[in-house]
Amino acid sequence: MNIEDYISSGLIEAYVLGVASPEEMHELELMASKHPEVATAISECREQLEQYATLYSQAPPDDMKEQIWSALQQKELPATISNQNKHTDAYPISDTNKPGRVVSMYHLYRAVAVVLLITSMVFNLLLLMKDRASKQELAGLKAEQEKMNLLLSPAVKSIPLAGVGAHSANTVMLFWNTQNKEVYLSLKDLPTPPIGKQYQLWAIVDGKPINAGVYALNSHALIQKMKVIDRAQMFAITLEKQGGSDQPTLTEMYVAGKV
Amino acid sequence: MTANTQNTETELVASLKNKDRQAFNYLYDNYAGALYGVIIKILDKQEVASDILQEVFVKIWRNIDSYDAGRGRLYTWMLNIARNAAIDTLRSSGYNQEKNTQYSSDNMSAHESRLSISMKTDHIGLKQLLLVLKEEHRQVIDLSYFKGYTQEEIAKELDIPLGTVKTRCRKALLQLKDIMKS
Repeated sequence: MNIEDYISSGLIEAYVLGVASPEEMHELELMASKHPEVATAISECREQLEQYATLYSQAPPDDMKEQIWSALQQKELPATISNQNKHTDAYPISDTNKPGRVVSMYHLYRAVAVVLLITSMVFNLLLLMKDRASKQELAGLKAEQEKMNLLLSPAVKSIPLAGVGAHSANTVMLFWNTQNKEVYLSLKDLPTPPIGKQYQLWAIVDGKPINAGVYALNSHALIQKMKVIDRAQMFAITLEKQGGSDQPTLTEMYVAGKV
Repeated sequence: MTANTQNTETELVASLKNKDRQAFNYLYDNYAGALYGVIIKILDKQEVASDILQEVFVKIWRNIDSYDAGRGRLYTWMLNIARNAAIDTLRSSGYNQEKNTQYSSDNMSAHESRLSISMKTDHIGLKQLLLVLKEEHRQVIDLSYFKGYTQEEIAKELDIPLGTVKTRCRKALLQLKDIMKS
């Protein structure tokens, strides 16, 4: 199918209206990342729909603005406590009662917390230094053993994940044990992720991406064990924020491969 | 909402991260009407719509850091938060029974005219548009975008084949495009 036919297939409209199936959504997002004209068609279509939705604009009741603002202040409370000095005017009750005392207690707590934190950090550092050498050795040995087991077991399927888009030069090997369904991954050929980011593996099951785990940073192991995946038609890897995301960022897809 | 959208949105996102009153004023003054309109359109109940509007603003306010400009416009993101919140409420048990009967295709137009009475007179653009937009096109947009129906549910609701739903969705948006351009 050429791009014009694809654009006029009705898929974009279904997508924008929110009635495309997960498989279709996935497919379209992939197409949009590869073909700028598809991406443009989507945003044009969406903009028209949103212009239409905007025609329904209606002024909310007059008191809503203040009501929402005060709701936002309440909900913000836990997050802004650490900035109490800056926002004292937002806490009229404690301020008018005993402002000096509240602030000084707060400083005392903070000082105690800092001392505890530093003590704990020093201890951790000492322990870490002591343990580091032996741990590294063990991890290295374990990884090698895992790798050997993987390559030798007849139950393990090797699945190459080919680079997508700008990352077409990269290929990643995924190993899937068809018996116990364990998934192993080697990302040594992918660029080191930027600070705050992490690679995340997705199993595509019936068109839906399932989180198959994030690839640990700073690991010396050549192969990492991911989540157990019972079945999947595809695997893909995206670059996500550290700790992983609930849904894959399709514009940050690095590699993908069919099972 | 279209002129200089990119610029103003980038500035707005930056200022929202400060979480100050000025940013809130800008956000509210420029978007509350549109978001409220969409919520009312979905729920058709003023008291509930006000609650949802507040919920939506709290979500925008708290999650602005997770908004990714690379994945779409801020307005799209906010509209989706409003639509999802309203559709979730619509689909919650209490609302459901009432609406199932109300949204059959037969009394769809009756419902629309009832709604249009509650709309203010400055919505001439909408009235004109609705005069031109084909009834069957309006139905599929309403059911999908505003009510969160799936293709299967739309097919069942309007008693048309599944294949027709997609064709009709496309035709509906093409007609919308024509009207908007003219």
